[in-house]
Amino acid sequence: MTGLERRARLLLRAYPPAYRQARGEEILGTLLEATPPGRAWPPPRDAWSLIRGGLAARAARNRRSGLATSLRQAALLGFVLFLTKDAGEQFQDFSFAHSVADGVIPLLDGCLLLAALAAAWAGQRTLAMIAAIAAGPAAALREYILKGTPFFRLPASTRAGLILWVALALLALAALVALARDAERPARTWLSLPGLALALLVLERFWQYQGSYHIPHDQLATIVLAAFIPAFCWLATDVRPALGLMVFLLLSELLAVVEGTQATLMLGEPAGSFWREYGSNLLSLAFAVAVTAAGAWLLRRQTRTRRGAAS
Amino acid sequence: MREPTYFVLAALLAGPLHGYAIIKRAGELSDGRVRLATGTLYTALDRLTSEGHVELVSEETVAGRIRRSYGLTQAGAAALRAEARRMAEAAQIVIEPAAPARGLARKARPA
Repeated sequence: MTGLERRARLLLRAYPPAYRQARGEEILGTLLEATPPGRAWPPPRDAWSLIRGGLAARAARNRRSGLATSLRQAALLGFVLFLTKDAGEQFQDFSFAHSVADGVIPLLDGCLLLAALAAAWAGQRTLAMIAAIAAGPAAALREYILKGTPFFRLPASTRAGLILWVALALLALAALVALARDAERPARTWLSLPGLALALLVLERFWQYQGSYHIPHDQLATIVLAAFIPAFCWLATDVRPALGLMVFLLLSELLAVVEGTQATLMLGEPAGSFWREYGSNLLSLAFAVAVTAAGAWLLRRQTRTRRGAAS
Repeated sequence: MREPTYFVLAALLAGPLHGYAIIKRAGELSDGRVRLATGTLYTALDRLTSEGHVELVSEETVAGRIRRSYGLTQAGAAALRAEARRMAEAAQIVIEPAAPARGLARKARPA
């Protein structure tokens, strides 16, 4: 294999694997014939056209699912991200526990949550339901134990706060189970997002051990650039992961409101002080709502264009 | 119809061709003005095939690689002719402006 062919094959990776398998050799043959002899790289015009063509082929593939399926997949990603963060926090609680007995419930809850997430992602609704049914009481038990006082001896306001929090966790789990469908499994590449969320939570714990840790500015710029370019290419071909992230952001805001209400109920803080502090979150809430609406509109438009092209 | 698409269809007017031959033929037909990039050609071929304007005619293996030849369908030939007529009519307005100008003069009213 010549250097030119190796580099041309690298450019072909812009196309989705199935497309590459069907037409990769044909495109490669044409590209090699069209490239003047003596060149080590395909001409820039050809290289750019392959990248653009590959992204267009990926975008066309991603638009094949209908609007309802796409929205469900995006929502599933949002709930998976939300519950992954919760599972990661359980593992953090486990690592902070002073004794094995203190850490068992968070560890169990974290593992059950991950099992429910994995089953939902794989479209195994029954398995997801079993894991979710087990994770729900574990979450309630965790809160019960962390407060250190038997539930029914807690003040009514504290009980109400705990119930609110557990209700949100149960609702998220119920939504996760409802969204799990074997025929609508999201792309494997999307798993990088919950994987990244879990890795960040582990890293955060690691940095807490190490004391203060600062990434040098030049390294940070390289990391951001290296992450930004593939992320841009990905989002340019598929709007669904961005929608999933927005669902996650909306759920996180809902959690902030629940926790604020919980603090108001449990600590007897005046309700007004929470809402005054929450005012600063309104910007991110507005951003999430705007991006979700724009993403849903774009998906709807793409679905209509596809139908129009097919007819 | 965009210019690269027009020249891909025009290249196939004389008979089926494979990818590189389409690029060469389109360049010849346009006096070297239209230089189809490989990615652009295959994006256009995908679209034209799904629209029923182009079809796969034959497949052969050359130097261990598959080579496919594409041909114009009747619908593709009709679309090409319609586009050519549209462009000719549009060009006529500029190249031979006399007839349309007279028509416009009749319609014009002094201010």
